[in-house]
Formats: sequence, structure tokens, C-alpha cells
Amino acid sequence: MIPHPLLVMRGFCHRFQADLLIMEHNGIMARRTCFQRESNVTIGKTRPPAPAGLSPTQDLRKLLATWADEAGDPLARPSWGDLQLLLIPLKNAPTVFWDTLLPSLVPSQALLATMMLARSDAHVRAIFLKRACGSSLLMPPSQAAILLKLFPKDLVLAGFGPALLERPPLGPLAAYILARLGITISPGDLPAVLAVTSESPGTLENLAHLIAPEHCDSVIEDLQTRFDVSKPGNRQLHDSFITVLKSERRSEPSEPTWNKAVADQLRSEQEPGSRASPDDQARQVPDKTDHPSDTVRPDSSLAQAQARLAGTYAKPAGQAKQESGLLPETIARHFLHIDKNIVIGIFALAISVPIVVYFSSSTPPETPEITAMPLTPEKAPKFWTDAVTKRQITHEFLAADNDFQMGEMFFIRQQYGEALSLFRDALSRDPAHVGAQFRIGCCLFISGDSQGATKAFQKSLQLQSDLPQANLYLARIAAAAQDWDKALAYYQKEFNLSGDILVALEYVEALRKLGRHPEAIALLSGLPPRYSGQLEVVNTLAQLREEAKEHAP
Amino acid sequence: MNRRAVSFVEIIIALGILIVCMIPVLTMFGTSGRAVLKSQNLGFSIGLAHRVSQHLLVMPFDAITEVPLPGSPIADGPDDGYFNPVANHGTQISGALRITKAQTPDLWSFLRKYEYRYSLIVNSVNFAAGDRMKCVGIIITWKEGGKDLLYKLYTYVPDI
Amino acid sequence: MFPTSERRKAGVTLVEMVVGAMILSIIFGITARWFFMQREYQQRLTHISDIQDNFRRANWLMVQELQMARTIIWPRLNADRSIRSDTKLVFKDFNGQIIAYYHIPAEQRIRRCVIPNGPGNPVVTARPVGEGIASLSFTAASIDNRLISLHMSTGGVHSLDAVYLTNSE
Repeated sequence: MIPHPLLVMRGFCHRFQADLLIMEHNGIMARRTCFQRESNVTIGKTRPPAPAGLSPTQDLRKLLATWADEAGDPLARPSWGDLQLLLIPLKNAPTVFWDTLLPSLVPSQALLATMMLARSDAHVRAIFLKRACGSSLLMPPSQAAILLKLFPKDLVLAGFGPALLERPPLGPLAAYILARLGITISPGDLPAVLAVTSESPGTLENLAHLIAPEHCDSVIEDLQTRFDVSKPGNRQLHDSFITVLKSERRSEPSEPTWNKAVADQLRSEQEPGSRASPDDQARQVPDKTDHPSDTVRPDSSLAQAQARLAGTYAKPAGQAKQESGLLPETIARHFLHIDKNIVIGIFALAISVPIVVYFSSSTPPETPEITAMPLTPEKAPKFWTDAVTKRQITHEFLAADNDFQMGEMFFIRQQYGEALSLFRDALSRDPAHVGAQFRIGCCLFISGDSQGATKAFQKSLQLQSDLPQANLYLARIAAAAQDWDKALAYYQKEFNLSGDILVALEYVEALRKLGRHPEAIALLSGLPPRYSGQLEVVNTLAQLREEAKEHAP
Repeated sequence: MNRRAVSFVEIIIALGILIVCMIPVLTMFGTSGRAVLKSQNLGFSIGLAHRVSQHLLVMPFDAITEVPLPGSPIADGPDDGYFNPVANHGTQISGALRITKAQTPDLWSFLRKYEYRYSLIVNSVNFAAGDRMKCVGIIITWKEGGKDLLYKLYTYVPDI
Repeated sequence: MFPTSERRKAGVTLVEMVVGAMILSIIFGITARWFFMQREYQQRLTHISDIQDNFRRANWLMVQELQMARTIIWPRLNADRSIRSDTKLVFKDFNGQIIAYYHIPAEQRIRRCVIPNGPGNPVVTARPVGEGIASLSFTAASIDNRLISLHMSTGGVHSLDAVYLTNSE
């Protein structure tokens, strides 16, 4: 029976501290469990509450075991919701805690847990990827490959890419896992990888799997220029790899041998108290197992290769740094260590506030200097718009209007002949001149030409249907011709348009002649109050009433 | 999955709808503004035409001559008895003020801005010996909103 | 802390809010500027309309009375027959009363008073003839003192008119 791992920890305080951490976060889980008991709802599923009476570490281990046994995407497993509350906060736990916990776990659980932690946070990614590499050594390679298939390829490459440069058994294992997952590496990294690879057919084949077919030629070229064949063993290695690269490949990568006894030994070496932890080992051998996230010594080609394989290669000093994120993000990350969102927000505010202030301030428009007005305009307009009637005024219209006004002068002086000729001149210049058309009718009416006057008035009404007095003249012409129906109709139209009292009185007179006293009385009675009190109206009304009585049967 | 928050796209779409709905309201401001401006210019033009018509009544009959279109400018115009000189607060002719940028800048700038001009269409009629009358068409023109506008007033000036 | 694929709730991130706020602020800034400019423009137009009303009212009152007046007493043409302007106008109305229109720049008002023929103080008409008129000048323009030109102005708005006295003395 394997002794409880906590019992072999160095010092009781470490165990106590670890338990405190788990208890603190277990409180969160307990509250969540209570909520689940009440609502019986978790993330879309119903789960039984966590059993009580276990220590925090046992809770964690139990959850890990449950989680590891469930199928599917690790993030979508039912236990993940509870596990993440316990596991993720522990990512910053002391190294000793993980050095103690991980060896006590089943390797598959440890591998899953470390990969999940590496996935959760970029800051601790390197450490937990390294732990994942260590955990993968403790299980058959095929099993590790199956487990690692659940994770994104870039994450696996970030962990197992640098491991290609490790000595066996990690190097070949990494090659197998990457090949099995179909992950390729950059051709430029291959010389560094090959330099530390031992010549074994399976390993070379796995390395060949890591090269995309279209990059074979560039790999061969790189090997010829950057691979030092002068070192003992390198020439043979080079030729063997080229042969493997050029030959047909096996469909499946070859699984490296795995010895359980060796794995157990490695496991016991990983336990604290026996040997230094992988981190300590890493610190003791800085030139081979430096964390890729550590500051890279510019002179260490191996460290550079590790960084390239992990995707964290920092360009040498002197070259422009092209970061993928925003400039504020870069500044924040490298200088201020402030959260990216806050920096972007401050940047956005810094841009928007001055813009708002600028647009909110009213700036008077610059007025151009006005020069003296020229005596004649540069371009004489062809027409104007009448500001009152909105009619287009041309020179022709003005000439017509001028003739009309002249005709008005003669008309007022009762010189109808001259007036008529002027009105006709105006009409010839502007056939739509309503005033001229009307005045032609007036001149003809006065001169006795009823037919001509009628035509003129009707034309003027066609031009303007509500022309004042046109209907009145037509009524007079009709009355003179004894066409009373027409006359009354025209009187009514004119009265409807103007409501003029003089028109009303003339209309009433016509009705009186026809003996239609009731209509006449009704018309006068219906006048507006401002007219109905006038003396003429009152007298006429009285006369009409008397005549109506006389004519009444 | 219940969404209770407002997404970014929804905010932008709502803003766009708001701006579109505000456009008719905004055009209303411009329309009412143009109405007031037109009223100001028409009222001023009527006053100018009336001023000319009154000056015609005191002017010697034979001095009423035609001013053909496109018309004579009122600002920076010649001494015509209608508009220039416009005022004189002194006791001598040297104190007479004309509508120029130097002497009456405020009035000048207003008249210059709209390019006010006036023209007279004069027709003389002899009814009988000693009975003459002139039919004068007073035309005030100005520019507004890129248009050439016009106001005309006809008056009859007897020779008495 | 958690990968984005683990988020279950839909919401607005801080970045989206800030970017949206920035865009909103730009749009509001432009709209606010336009709004304030329009408001200022509308206020100016309303002011101009009020001034026009004042001019029309004052003009109508003065022209009505002046048209029926008999003669202009002041201002009169200068000795050298040049025109003469003043902010006061004194004339004999149809009934033979001596009426004066005068402008008070501080109050921006035109007032009317009746000047008695004999001893006594001028009687000022209670209601002003015109209000809100910054400057006014009456100009004598005819040798027979029967034509008076008026020029009113306020805030860049002007009115030019003239009145011919139809009645003889």
C-alpha cells in the first residue's frame, strides 16, 4: 500500500497550509453544493451533492478521479464545474503542494489536471506544461497521446515542443505524441532538434512526421547549412534522417518503448523529499531545461530553439518587436503590468474626450471678406423669382406687365381704346397674363362687345378660376342678354368667391326683377353681421319684404 | 441560454435608428429658419420699394429716368436721390453718409450680402397738355439661397 | 482566469462597453455640437423675427400719422440743400398739433409727445411708438419738407422707408 503522500511531506506545516487552501476553496464548493441542493440545478444537469466528511485534499482527489473517468471534452464534463472551483484557484499554490499532490495522483489524472491548469492561465502555463510532460512519462505513450488529443494543438505544442530537445525518454516521447496528434514544427527548428536526438529508427521517423511534406526541401536545405555534421555522430544522424525524410513514411508513428518499472522510479523521483522537484532540477540545469517563459539568454541557441518550439520565441534585440496585440496592451504588459481591458478603456477615453470637447465647442464660421458691390453684376440673371407669387419673372414678362400697367393708366382715365391695345400687347408678350386678359374683357364689355367680353372673361377664368369680378361681369353680360339662369349662376359664383356686399346687392336686384323675393330676402338675411346692419342692406330688405307681401297669394 | 444583457451590435443598431428618426426633426429646423429669412428680406424689399415710390413723388418729373435691369446697386451705389446719401448728421454736404463699407458698415454689409439692386421701368404718358403721368415700375432684386428674387411695385407719378 | 470558451453568460465586456461609449461619445459630440449650433441659429432667427415685428409696428404707426401730416418741422434740409438727419422728428399733424417722435437709445424705444403751441410741457404718449429699436434716424430729403426717410436698425436687421406727406399745410 502506498503511504499517504501527505505523510511523507517535509514538515507538518506544509500539509496544514495545503489543507487550508483546499478548505478555503472547498467553502466555495460547499456553498455551490447547497445551492444545488436547493435548486437541484447545476450547469444544465442535476448532480448529487458532494459527500461530506472528507478532507479537502481527498475531496480534490476524488473530484479529479471522477472527472478523469468521465468522457468527452474535459471542459464539458459534469464534474468540471465543481472541480474548477477547487482546482483553478490552486494554480498559484506553493510548488511543494503540487510536488506532493501530483505524484499521488494517477498519472492520467495528473496529466489532465496539469494540462487544464496550463490551459486556464498563460502565466502558469509553462510550469504546468512542464509538469504535464513529467506526468506523461509515467504512463504508456499511447495513453498520453489519447489524453492529450483532448487539448488544443497549440497548447500541446507549447508543452511538448520544447520537450523535443530533451534527452530520452522525454524527447522521443514528445516526438511520438506530436506526430500522433499530427502536429508539425517549423522546418527551421529541426536542426536544433536533430542535434539532441539519438539515432533510433522510431525517433527519426517520428521527427519526420513532424515535418509537413511541403517543407521537406527546405528542411534538407536547412540541415545542409545549419546542422553541424563535423561533430561525431552527426553525419550519420544527418544522412539517416534525410533518408527517412525522403522515403515513404509509415502511416502511424512508432510508439517508443515504455517500461513501467522505469516509470515508477521516475515517479518516486518526482516525490518531494527524495529528489529535487522537476522545477528544482530545472533550476539546476538552466542550459537544458530553462522555462521557455524565462528570460532567454541571447547566446543560447538551444534556449532559442526551445522558445521557438514553444511559440514564445523573443526576437533578438535590435529587431522591431511586432506584437500581435494592441500597442496599449504591449505597453501595459511590458511596462505597467496593467490589465489589457483597462488600458484599452483608458486609451479609448483619451481619444473620445477631446473629440467630444472639440465637437461640443461652437466655433464661429470664418466669414469671407466681402468686396465692394459692382455697378453691374458679373452675370446678369436670365430670370427672377417673384418673392410674393413665386412666379418666374423674365424680361418678356416684365415688358408685358409694363404694357399692362400702362393700359391700367389709360383704363383709369377711361381711354378704353388705348387701354385695349396696350392690354393686347401685354397679352401677346405673355399669353398667361391674367390681368391683361381680364382688362381686355372689361374694355370690350364697356365698348359693348358682349361676345368678345364673354370670351375674354371666360379665358381669364381658365387662367385663374378665382379671379375676382370676372364672374360678376359675366353675370352682367348674361343679365343684359336676359339669360337669367346664367346670370344668377354667375352672381352666385361671384358672391361665393368674394362675399362682397355690392355683389350681393346686385344679385338681390336681379332676383328682385325676377320676382324671386324669398331668395333675395334669404340672401340678404344671410349676410355677415358687419354688412347686415348697413343702411342700404336694411332698406333693401325692408323693401323686399313689402314687395313679397304684396306679391304673396 | 437566457440573454439578458444588451450586446454591442444592438447598441449600434439602436443608435442608427435614433439618428435616422432625428433627421426629419433636424430638417424642420432648417425649414423654419429659411422661412424667417425670406420674410425678413421680403419685408425689407417692400420697404425699399415704398421708399423709392415716396421719393418719386418729390422728384422733378423729368428727373424720373429709367434705371434698366439688372439694376443699380444700393450698397456702393451712385448718388441717386433714392438711397445715397442715406443720412447726414452734420450741417453740410461733407457730412453726408453713403451706404459704403467705411461709412455705414452695418447697413452696407446687409445690403451687400444679399446684393440688393433696384431698377426703374419708366413709361411716360401724355393725356393732354399739361397732363402728363409717368408709370414707374420699381423693381427690387436680391439674391437669396442661390436664387435671384424680385419684388415689383408700380406707381403712377403725375406731373403737377 | 477561465478560458473564454467556459463562459456561459452573454454580456458586455469592459472593452465593448468602453469602445461603445467612445463611439457614443463621438456621435453625441457631433450631435450635440450640431444641436447647439441649431439652437443658437433658431434663437437668432427668433430674435430677427421679433425685431422685424417691432419694425413693422413702429413703421405702421409712424407712417399712418405722417401720411396725413401737413409739414415737417424738423429735420430740414441744410443750408447747402444737403440732406439732414436726426433722431428726432417734429411735424405738424393733420389737426395742426405739433407732434414729435424721438428715439431713446438706452431704452431702445421710440416715443411720441405732443408739443403744446403755448406754454406748458410736452405731453408724452403713454405707449411707446416702437420698442426694441437700437437706432433710428429721420432724414429730411425734400426742399418742401414733405418727404421724410426713416432708417431703423437693431442687431444687424434694418428697415429703410420713406413717407410723403399727402396733405398740404
